[in-house]
Amino acid sequence: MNPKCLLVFFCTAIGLPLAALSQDEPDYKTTGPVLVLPDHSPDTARYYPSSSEGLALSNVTFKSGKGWWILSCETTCKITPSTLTVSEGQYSQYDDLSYKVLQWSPVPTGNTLLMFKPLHVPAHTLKLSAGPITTYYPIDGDSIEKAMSVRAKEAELLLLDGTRAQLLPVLVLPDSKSDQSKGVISLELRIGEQRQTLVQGNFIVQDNYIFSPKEYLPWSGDMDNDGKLDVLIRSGFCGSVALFLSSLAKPGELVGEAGRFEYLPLAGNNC
Amino acid sequence: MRYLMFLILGVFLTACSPTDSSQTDYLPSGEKWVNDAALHIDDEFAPMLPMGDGSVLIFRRTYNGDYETRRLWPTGTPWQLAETINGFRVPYSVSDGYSSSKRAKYASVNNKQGIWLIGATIELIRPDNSHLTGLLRFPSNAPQVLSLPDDSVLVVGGQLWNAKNVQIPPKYHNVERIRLNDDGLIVSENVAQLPDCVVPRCNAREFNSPEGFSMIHIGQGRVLLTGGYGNSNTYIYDSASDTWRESAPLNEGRKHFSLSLLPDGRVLAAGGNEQYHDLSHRGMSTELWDPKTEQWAMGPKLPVPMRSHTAVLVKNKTVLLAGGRFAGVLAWDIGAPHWRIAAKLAMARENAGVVPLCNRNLALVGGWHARDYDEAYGRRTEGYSVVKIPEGMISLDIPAGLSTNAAVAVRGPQLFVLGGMSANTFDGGVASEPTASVEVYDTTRHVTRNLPEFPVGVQAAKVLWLDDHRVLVMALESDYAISPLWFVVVDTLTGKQTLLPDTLSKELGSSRSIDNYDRLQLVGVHDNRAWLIDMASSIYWFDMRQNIFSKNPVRRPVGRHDFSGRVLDNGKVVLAGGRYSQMVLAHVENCQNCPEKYLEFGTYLPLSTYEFYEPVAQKWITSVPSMAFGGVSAVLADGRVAKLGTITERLKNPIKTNSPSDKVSTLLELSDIEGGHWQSLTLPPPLQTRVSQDSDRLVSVSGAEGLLDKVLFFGGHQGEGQFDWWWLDLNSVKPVWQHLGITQAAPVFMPKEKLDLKPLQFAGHTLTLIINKAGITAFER
Repeated sequence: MNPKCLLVFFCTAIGLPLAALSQDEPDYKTTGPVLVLPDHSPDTARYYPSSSEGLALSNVTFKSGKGWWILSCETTCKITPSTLTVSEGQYSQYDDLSYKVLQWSPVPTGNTLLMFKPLHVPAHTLKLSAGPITTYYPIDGDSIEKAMSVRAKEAELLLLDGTRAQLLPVLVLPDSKSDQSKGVISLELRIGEQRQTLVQGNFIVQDNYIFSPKEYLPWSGDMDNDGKLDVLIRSGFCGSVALFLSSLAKPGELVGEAGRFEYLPLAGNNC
Repeated sequence: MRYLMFLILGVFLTACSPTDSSQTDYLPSGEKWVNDAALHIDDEFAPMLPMGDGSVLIFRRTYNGDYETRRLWPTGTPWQLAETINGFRVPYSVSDGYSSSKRAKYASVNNKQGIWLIGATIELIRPDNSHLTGLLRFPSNAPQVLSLPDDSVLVVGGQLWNAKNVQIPPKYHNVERIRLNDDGLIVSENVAQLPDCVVPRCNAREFNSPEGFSMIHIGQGRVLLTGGYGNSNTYIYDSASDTWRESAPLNEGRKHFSLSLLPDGRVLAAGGNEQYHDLSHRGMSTELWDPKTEQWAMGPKLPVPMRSHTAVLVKNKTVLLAGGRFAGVLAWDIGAPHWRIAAKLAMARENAGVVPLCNRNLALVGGWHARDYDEAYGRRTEGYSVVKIPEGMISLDIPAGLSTNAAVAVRGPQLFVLGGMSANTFDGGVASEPTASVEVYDTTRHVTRNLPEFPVGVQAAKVLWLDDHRVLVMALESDYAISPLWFVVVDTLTGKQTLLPDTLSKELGSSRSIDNYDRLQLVGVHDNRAWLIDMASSIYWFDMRQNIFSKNPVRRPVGRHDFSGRVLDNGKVVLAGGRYSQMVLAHVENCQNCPEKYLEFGTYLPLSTYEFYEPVAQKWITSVPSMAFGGVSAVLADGRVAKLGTITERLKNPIKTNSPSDKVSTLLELSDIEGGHWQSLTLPPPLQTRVSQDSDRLVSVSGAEGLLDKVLFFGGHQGEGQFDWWWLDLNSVKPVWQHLGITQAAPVFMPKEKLDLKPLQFAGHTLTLIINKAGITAFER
């Protein structure tokens, strides 16, 4: 979603007085040793950071500089090093309300899924290059449903040894007598006997509809070239994503959370 | 009104069945129904009295208020006027709550002294037709009476008549004994009373009906009295010593049941058992009283509930139960392990006069049947019927289950019929009761074999032929009993039933058997394996060789509610229609031992695709989507799917351009065998003027030896369970919808589905279609 659309959407959706608007600015949070920024709305047109609009966020403290990577997919996926330039922007409808425009260069062709920058990760733990695990990316003509078996919105991802990892929406119930309304949907990764909950909190549910794998799993493959599975998953509302890399896994884990971006829009905005 | 129980021996007559007349109907079941208004089998004030010679006496009020008896001969001459009781008018009493239209009810009995009518007064019609009158010590309304060997008559129970100003002595428990004394007067002796007030409402002053206890002479002047109003108390009266004593109680409380004295001295109590909170056995049990031990032991079960009936012993070998709530005759060859349904009536004749005739014919005169749901009280069944009682477990009738909502399945010429709910609106209630009958109807020979009854009354069942002689049954005992489902394999050759352990209910997840029953369908059989498919997507197999269930680890892509499914001859399994339910794997937090299972999640959405299982590749394949969205579906025998969906077009409003409207239309589509293409078909006539709705039905047929494999049936719902049926022969060059007819479902609160039978002429064959909730079963008859 480009910033202009975002702007107009805020205005028509809320109609708040300007004073209130300044107190209800959209917020974001990015956590983890890797700074991640998502494609802003995975279910609509992709954002092309090469456009003149850039990625607009309020309360952003990014600085221009090198060290960024862009994960993009066309017929295949790739990670491309890139440089960030930060400039000021001003909301034309509101006084005293500015935003930051983030623009990268170069921007690879194809659909951009993720812009990220390792910040607090030891250099030897994160070697970003494509590894041998099969990449899955839900584009037309190579739908993720063909590669995976669709069982209750479950995804199966092929590993190097021919076995399959499973990514499952799981309803966690507080006790054995509770019905589904008391449960919380989480996303769980299972490889063999090992299990790990990646995210929890009904983010992959909308109007009682659980998202399909192509909606909650924008990408999986091997980004850190260690022959093990990495995944990028939907982690919250409004385009929030979380990147999990196998090279960051702690003992007992299958993957470690590299970074998470959470975007909380203005009240009333359904993204 | 009738609570007299008779023991009548069959007699031989010269004529055995009614002579044909314009009033005689011959029904498909073999019943001969004579309905002649001139018979006047109506306005009775006392129960009919079979005379032992093939005739029956009817005691009625005439048009002008007089009272008369009519003697009816169900064979030969229709009837003759027997006797008018001069000067006798059955009394009424306003003070007791009667109006002039509510006359007193009398009991009737016949012995050497003559014909006794006992109630508010005593009227005795002597053999020479003279008439005597008397009174009970405490006149009674609708008592029960029994003639004793010394020709006295024991009178028990009933409501006190005109009791307002009557002083009833203490410990009077409604027992009197009347006789004709040496002076030719009717007297009531001062006899011993029952030890307890067990006949309901003894000393009661209010007008009400007796509650159905029974008594029978068991030899040497002794009378056994038992039951009533669900009681199980049993007493024995010794007329020689004029004493009552208590005996062992019935195992189950009963009312409106029958007692029969068997040749070996045992007493059979049949039917009328009342378990108010357990429908599974109600009205279907029997007990046998042993004269040596004076204990009751459970006897063989009835296949259907029976009450308010008469028991008849034929040739000292067979007990018949007839003229009761069940529209038919039950028979038990003494000592046999099972009862059988020996004959079927078009309508029940509850409290009918039952008259044995020769050559195993039985006449049922008058009686009542359940009326429609919206009418509370029973309606008189006109005229009388004569049925033939065959020997052995064969009846010449169509199966009894076809007049209820039995589960049916056809294989070749055999129609398997199980259970069904019997309607019981007769007494003002709307409850219906499950039955346990198991029948196999040979459609070519037109005979029904009775198989041993099912272990419990069946509220609903799904049945599937496994091979040429075995049927898999999944039965629901009661929808509010927390009881497991019944899984039984019935061998239709031997009648043997193999009970399978219910391992599926736990898998299906609900503690209520009705929920599990609703979600599981018996879809078909291939390669010695039956497919049972759960709407949430789980698949279970039943191994026919080992009689065990297993869960298929391969899950379907989607769950479907109310799907249509079929197993084809080549092993392909096709599932279509219904609504899509998402599933999600669920587990309990912090619980290591709690098993994970898939739960349905979210709302149900219509589907435009169907899926089929390819047995060679062992995987499920999803079809291409149809053009129309959702809708009811039918799977044909070749695997093609017909679907009735809707298409919504958004139309521009030329005036209010910001207010577009939606136009919804119906599309009937037919897939190809591989699920790769859909073609449109013409809509059935009802849908040419309206949009299809979820309550419409699209059905393919099972049975009829493949004749109807390419015929599609459409039932347009017209409201209140009524369907307008049409059919389309897809084999035709230019298929055209043909009208089949209109079927009714039973209204609310009645048995959920009543089987409809429709004839169909197709390709030179005459077929009978049974239309029920499960679909359409066809056979050639």
